[in-house]
Amino acid sequence: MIVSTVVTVGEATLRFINTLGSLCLFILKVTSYCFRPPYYWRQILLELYKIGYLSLPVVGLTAIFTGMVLALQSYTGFSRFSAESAIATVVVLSITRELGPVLGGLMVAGRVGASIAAEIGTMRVTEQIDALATLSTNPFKYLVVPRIIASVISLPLLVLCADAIGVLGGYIVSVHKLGFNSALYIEQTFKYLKAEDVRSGLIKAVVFGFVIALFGCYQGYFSKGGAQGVGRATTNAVVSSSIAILILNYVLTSILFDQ
Amino acid sequence: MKKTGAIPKIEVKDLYKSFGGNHVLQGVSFQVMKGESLVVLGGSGSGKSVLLKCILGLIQPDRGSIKIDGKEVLSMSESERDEVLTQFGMLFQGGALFDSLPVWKNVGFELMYTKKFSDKKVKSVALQKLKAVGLGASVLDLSPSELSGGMQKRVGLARAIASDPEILFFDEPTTGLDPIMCGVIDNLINKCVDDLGATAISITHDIESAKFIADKIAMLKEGKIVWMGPAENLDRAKNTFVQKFITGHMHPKRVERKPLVAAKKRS
Ligand SMILES: Nc1ncnc2c1ncn2[C@@H]1O[C@H](COP(=O)(O)OP(=O)(O)OP(=O)(O)O)[C@@H](O)[C@H]1O
Ligand SMILES: [Mg+2]
Repeated sequence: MIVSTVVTVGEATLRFINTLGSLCLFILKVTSYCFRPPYYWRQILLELYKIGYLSLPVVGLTAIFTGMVLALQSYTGFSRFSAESAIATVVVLSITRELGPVLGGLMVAGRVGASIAAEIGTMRVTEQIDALATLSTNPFKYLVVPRIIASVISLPLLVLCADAIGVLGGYIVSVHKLGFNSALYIEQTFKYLKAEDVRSGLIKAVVFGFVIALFGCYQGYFSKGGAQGVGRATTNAVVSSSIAILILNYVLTSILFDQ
Repeated sequence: MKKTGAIPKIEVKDLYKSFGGNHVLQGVSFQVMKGESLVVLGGSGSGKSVLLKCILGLIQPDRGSIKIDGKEVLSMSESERDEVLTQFGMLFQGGALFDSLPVWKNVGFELMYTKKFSDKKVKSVALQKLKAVGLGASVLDLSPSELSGGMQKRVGLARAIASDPEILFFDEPTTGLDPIMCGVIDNLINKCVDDLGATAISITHDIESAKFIADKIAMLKEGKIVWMGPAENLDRAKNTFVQKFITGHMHPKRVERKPLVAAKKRS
């Protein structure tokens, strides 16, 4: 009984260390290939379109409703001690520093991470990745690098859009529902906003973009065992990148907080 | 035919590969000279596809040596390996076509990305190669999923030979094709070897086409090569497994079926 427990725990630990090791190797390989030409420009552009442009509606919707709900909720709280004037500031700071990157990142992880893992995973199990190698094409450069680069570029741009749309959502609710003065609200919005608030959100977005594409590619690249394996890879990609986003969000916030 | 002292194009020595407790290759050794065509025979699941993938570096063997042009590939760095891979063309057993690309980009993939041909030129070369495998211009813009199994196989073959590689691997090139098309493909393989001087390793289950395309035939069984010799010696091979293999398609006499009662009544 005790022995079997020890064995199970031991095996799980070994498996975990094994995965961690191969993930680290994968990251090293990805990073080194990202800085080594030649680049597949066509693939990068295609992925920019798929990851960046096609994610706009999802990220935009998330942002506008978050901004709207934020304005309503903070009104409930702040009206109790007559601090309604702080609503605009609260909305813009929460969106740019926190909610834009995190919620945007999570939405993109669900949309893009899953599709990357499914696409590369299917290519793996149908031997298309092997075929690439026999056609003098390094699968890493052709499949992984374009997705990583596109994701790292797309996410900050998406978050920038999310910031603007989220603030707009807050404005709409505040002016049209809560009866704020339009000009005053806009003035309040920018009064306490610093460039650093937006910048910290964008730094997070860059990291999240890397993480999303990384886990998608990693899970897809090492998937095996047919349709079931691809399904597992897809789930793992979304779950692991979402968790990584939440953890890294805290880490990054505390690093940027100290400065 | 074989010059003494010449370096073999492909030399495999004592190759071992296991998947867990499944010992697939257990000491495979052979040589293929430049311009020679080797056919590997063997039962289903005997490790033929694994052998080809080991040579290509898609599967890492447990031990042994693989030399291409006399250079050991197993100890090479990744970029050296990529360099060696440029002279290979491979038809995969399952086709392995890129389903996100149309047929012409599949066939012209290497020309498009490595040789940087213009789209127009890629398309014309693709058409020429497709014609060689009995397909026409109508398939150029289709996606692989719109093709039949046999057509996919032939597109895969066209892709493998598209950039005139020096070494060609064919994993069951004629499986799933009709007898006429089999003949066309076998002739095409011979043309690649004879006219372009390519070195070929093919896997097939069809004894007749094996004898037609091979200079040399090897029989793989239980992870080892149990017989290897010139194609014309296959029929005279003493090895009992080879004997069984080449006569295996003769089925035991079929039991006569009783006519159905209903059919009797009607007539
Ligand atoms: N990636 C893999 N992981 C685990 N086992 C594998 C893998 N690839 C092949 N095998 C095993 O290796 C053995 C040989 O497989 P292989 O595909 O080489 O057979 P084959 O000789 O090509 O057969 P066929 O004529 O049916 O294509 C099989 O038992 C198979 O289960
Ligand atoms: Mg096979």
